[in-house]
Amino acid sequence: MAFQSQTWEHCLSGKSGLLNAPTGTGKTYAVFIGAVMTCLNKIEADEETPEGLQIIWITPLRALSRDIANACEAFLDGVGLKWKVAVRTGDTETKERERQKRFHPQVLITTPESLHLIIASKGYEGYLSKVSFVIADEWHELMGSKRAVMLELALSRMKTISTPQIWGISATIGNLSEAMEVLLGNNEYLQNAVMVKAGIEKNVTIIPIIPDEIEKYPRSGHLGTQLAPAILPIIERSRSTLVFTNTRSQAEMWYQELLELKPELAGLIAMHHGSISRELRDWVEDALHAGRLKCVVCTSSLDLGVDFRPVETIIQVGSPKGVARFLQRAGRSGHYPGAESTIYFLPANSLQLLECAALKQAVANRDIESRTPYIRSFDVLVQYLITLAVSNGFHPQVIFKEVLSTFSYSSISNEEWDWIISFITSGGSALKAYDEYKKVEIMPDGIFVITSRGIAMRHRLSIGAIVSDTMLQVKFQSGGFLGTIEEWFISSLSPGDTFWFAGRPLELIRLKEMTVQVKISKSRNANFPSWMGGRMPLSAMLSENLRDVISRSSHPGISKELLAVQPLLRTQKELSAVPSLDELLIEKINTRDGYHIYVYPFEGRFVHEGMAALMAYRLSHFKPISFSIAINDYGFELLSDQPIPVEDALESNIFSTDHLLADLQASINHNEMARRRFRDIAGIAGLVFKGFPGKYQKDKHLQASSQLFFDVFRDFESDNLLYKQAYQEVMEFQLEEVRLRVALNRISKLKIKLTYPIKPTPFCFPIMYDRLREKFSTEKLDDKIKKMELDY
Amino acid sequence: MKPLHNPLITSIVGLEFMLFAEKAAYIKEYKTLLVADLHLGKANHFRKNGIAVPHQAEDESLNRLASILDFSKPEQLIFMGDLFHSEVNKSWQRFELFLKDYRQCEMILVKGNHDILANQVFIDARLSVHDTIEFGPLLLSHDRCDSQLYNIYGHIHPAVRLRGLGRSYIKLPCFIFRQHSAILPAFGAFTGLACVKPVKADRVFVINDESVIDMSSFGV
Repeated sequence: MAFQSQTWEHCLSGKSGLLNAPTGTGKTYAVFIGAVMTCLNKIEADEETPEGLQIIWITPLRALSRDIANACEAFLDGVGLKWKVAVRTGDTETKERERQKRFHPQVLITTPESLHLIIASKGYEGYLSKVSFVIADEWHELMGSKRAVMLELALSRMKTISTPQIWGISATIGNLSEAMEVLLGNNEYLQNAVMVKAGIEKNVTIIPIIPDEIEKYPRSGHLGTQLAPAILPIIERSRSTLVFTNTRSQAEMWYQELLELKPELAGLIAMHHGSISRELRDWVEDALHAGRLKCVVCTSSLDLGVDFRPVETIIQVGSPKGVARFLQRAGRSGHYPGAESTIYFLPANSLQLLECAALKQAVANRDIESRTPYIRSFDVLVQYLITLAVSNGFHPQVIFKEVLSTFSYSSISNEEWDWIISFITSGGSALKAYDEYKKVEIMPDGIFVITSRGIAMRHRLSIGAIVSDTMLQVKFQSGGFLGTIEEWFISSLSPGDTFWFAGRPLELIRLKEMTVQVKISKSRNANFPSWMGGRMPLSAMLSENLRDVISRSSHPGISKELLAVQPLLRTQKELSAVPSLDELLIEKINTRDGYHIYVYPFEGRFVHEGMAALMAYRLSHFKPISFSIAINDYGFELLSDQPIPVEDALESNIFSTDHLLADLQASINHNEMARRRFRDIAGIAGLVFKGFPGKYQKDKHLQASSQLFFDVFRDFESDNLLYKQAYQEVMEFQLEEVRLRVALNRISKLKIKLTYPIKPTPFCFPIMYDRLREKFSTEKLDDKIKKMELDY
Repeated sequence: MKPLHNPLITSIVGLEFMLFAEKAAYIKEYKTLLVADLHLGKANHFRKNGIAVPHQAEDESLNRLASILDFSKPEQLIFMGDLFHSEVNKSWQRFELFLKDYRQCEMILVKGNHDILANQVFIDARLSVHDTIEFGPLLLSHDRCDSQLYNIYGHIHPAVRLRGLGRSYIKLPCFIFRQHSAILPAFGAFTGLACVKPVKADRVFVINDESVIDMSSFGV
């Protein structure tokens, strides 16, 4: 293929860059072969096997590493090179890691976390000294996460050690050139970089699954299992089908539902999600490859990865929230040249039929989202410096220069750097006589090191940027390992209680240290564990298309999904209104619960979160008032125990962008967003130590919740950069300030359509029943408490 | 030093209690101040192990205690357990100095599960050490005890959830006075909260930053 030979040439001419190519097009070989050719060019003709590690391949999923390794080995064998390929991820056993350190492989497949673990070991500079290629696979997947920042930092170190060529491989995203900038950093690498575009896009057919009687289909919720019978014939017709759900508990429920509807599927249907044991997942993947499975119910755990050729059909249950994710999933089918991808969209509630129409439109226009990179993540920087301090130690002046050359930290000031250094050496505050803070020490030769073995050990165990709850292992009494589950879910159960896990009803026998002992239960009324998952917002691209679809929805034309949703839209129109593109709909409803305001900007839940906080704050200027706030992707609700002066507020231009930043900051101080953000930050920066997964927590005496840290920082050290970072992240990623500003500007040009429905409308129904709520109040706490009652 | 807020005065088992928003209780008849779960030394213990808890958290606890002592001038101060959350470290030496400023007040410790220091260390600091203390109609202990007497204890760092209109919730530390026992709030700044479900007969006093509010005097 043209893009492959282009990539090889660029590799051979010493360039770094980014290859934009979808999965299943030979992207792996494009870069890997280029890297091998370049390495061979550099060595003497008579030694085909160079000494030391040459190529590092970074993959976001450790599940992918084995397949990549196989592909690499297949190529090396094919051309008769005797290079060794090794895999090092969190799953790799200590013995194998030690072996790799002694007998250097030529190619290492690893993850950002494991790369940092290498840097955390003594003598890592020697191990990395020969590396001439680093490849970041599925870079689009890493880009919008702190794991990308980890990789940026590791690369900044490697550039000094061996100046390797750096290549990224990315699927299409809205900001490809920024993606390249993030990977390569602000330095000479970027000036000399190239972007290669494969230019292959598959055709995608989207087919909605439409409930027979839309009036009887749920108006809220995200399960969609009522429609399960409709997908049986689809599964029947195709060789293999992947059913994508958005959460793990949803996957468990769908798996059960399908088996109950069609018991003959037993043995032909499987489940795949991130909590199920690796062995079980491997088995599922192998069986899919071999075409032995008719259907697999899965989560994003199968978004990425190697091609499953037998997969002919994809079913997406519920909103995929973004165009890129939807296309990625669609692309999991039809993996042979010239094949089309077919994806069925199953709405989890009736309003999601509108989203289906919006998806079709977005896919047709190739409106694909950007990924916002994390910048100035002080938590990751603290972790990285500690990592350097536990291995060889570091000179701050050298490292500061390297850190400044990354995309993420190019804007940090000398003062901020000094603060970080003082945070790790003296605990962030002026030295006091009785203080015994000890972490990074400064040696007489100016090297910063950690000498305490306990601190070093705890640090190595907590390297990473994914902070999860404490995970417990689920095991049969006889010892069979089923997977892992969050501690907080199990702690809500008592022995004898039953729950579904990995497709089986289990009875809790006991909780012993870090293990949940279970046996198969006969009960069919078991609980489904609900795993805490991020609630993804509807993307800007999808939102924009959705607003467009809604404004034109009274003229459905031949669109099946729009025709189906007409009865609902008629009810909406009778009770309230369906907004056109130049209108903003606001509904005012009174119920037993209190006074409700519903606003429908159709901008996705994160923007709504900010807008709701802002509106609550600005409304509170009229009188002291408390709100309970609920949000979904279509709009938000403000609920109060007092009448809400919304008419007055609209008169005074409540959606103005004037003083936006100040008002937002003031409104954030009233709620819990920053506190939740801080949870991850505290984990990454090493304030909260979770212990080794599956091992009994020995350091209980050093455990405190991130909440506690948040409180003491707020009360005693509010200039702490980690504490401030929580607020910055809220602005950038939670409230999406940039998007919020754009949205407010759009709204300020709209006509406000204020309606007074006599009962809940189809639009407000799903928000009204959302139990996850924010608080906002400007009443004095004493006054507020006096109106409250004890929760008995 | 921050000035104290007005304490709330209430009567329980025939005794007059002053409940401080600063999380201590004073019994007027016995001129006794009760303080539970200081967890002194905890911040320093974390810091010694490379975890940067702001040490002001500890200064604040001692300053707050000083304010209450200066205001109430008790004849005795009873620490209701979990006074010191570590091995001997510099925080302990600092606390010893603090105690020297209050020679006129008798210092008593009811031992808690976190008080792992040897008894002699407490005694050297002029603290008398007990597992429980009987005091008129009262039994003072760290954790709950079954007794004919009215049991006052700490240990659990109690908080309650309050429910308001519009489905709003708030969690606040509190004093809980039940029929046969009472739970005191945790005094220390670097300590967590555990939600307690009260029953109707309980008298719950929630602690806002500035005041103690008797939840049985309104609402419901």
